[in-house]
Amino acid sequence: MSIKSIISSLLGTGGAHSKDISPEKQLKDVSSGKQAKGRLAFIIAHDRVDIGPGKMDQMKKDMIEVLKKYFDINESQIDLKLENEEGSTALLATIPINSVLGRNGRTARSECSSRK
Amino acid sequence: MAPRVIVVTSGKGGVGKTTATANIAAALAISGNKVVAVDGDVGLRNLDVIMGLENRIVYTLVDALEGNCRLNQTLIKDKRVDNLFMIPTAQSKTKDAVTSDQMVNVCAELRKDFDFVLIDSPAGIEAGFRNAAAGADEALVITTPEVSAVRDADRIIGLLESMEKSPIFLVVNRIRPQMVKRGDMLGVSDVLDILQIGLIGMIPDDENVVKSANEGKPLTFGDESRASVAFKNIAARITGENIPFMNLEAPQKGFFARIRDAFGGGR
Repeated sequence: MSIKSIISSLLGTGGAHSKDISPEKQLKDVSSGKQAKGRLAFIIAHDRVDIGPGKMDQMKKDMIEVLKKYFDINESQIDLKLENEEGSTALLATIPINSVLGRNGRTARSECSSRK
Repeated sequence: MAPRVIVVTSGKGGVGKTTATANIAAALAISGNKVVAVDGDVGLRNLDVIMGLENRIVYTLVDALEGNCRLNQTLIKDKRVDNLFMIPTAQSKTKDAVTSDQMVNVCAELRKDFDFVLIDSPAGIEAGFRNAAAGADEALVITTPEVSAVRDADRIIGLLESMEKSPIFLVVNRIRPQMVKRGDMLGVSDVLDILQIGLIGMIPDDENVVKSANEGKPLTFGDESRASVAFKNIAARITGENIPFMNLEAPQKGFFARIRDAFGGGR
């Protein structure tokens, strides 16, 4: 089972755009074993790239500064997270764009990944 | 068969490294291999106690490294099983008493006489662990189904990979099938999803492990408890046998019958 699908099942969303995997956002009625797995996935993703949640916030701010030069973006809806799948760690960013080159309402999803 | 040197490690303390070392070493010896288990935890030795050989110590590994004796004088032969030996370490010294180079030399020496050298590593990721792992080709990583233990296992696996140990296999210890079943414990598949490493054994939480440590007699000497069977299976897999994994979630009743079935009448 992929981490994404676990998170989706945790949150009952099941959509392609899974939500933030931070432990705080998990539902409280999830079994403790599933909570353990969700927390582990989050902790290990950050351990492997040696970037804590605080640094992620800083990076998000820096990225917003750059992106704002090119897009009209909704800062409050930006979702940045690390995921592990099959031995590699990926940084997944979901950045809803209000307008680009005159078009409105489209959502762009960019991804970059690297081996751990 | 070329001699194999395997470090048994975990990162986190208290997950069962020493118990695993003793039981796997004993099981390998019983199946006809010449085995030495080396205590790599200088200053906090325990392998002698778990194996019940604490009263037989004359010289330790540190004595040999300091030139007080030859390496073969540190070998304690286990009289209960053929082909099983143990090398104790010093209790009154610190990690600085041994260097990585010395461990590489010790392992090279032991390769001449043994089929398997198992090294019980200390917890942690510092010098003690690095020394214990220095002379090994392969690694067994022990974890329990807990967030902290799995996290530390991930760290140790990264370090072992950077030290070019291969293969690195995982042992998940102290599984409580009933808790897994009701969703209150990480299952082995969860741990494997996270760690992305080959599994070589699953050990159920078993009171007999405590009893065997009390008595100083490894379970694999004869006991047919679930943990004992699980350790014997690991030893068999290490020697290349293809043994199916035990169904831990099956009910306790009729266990031995199922084990006989599952393993085709035993090994």
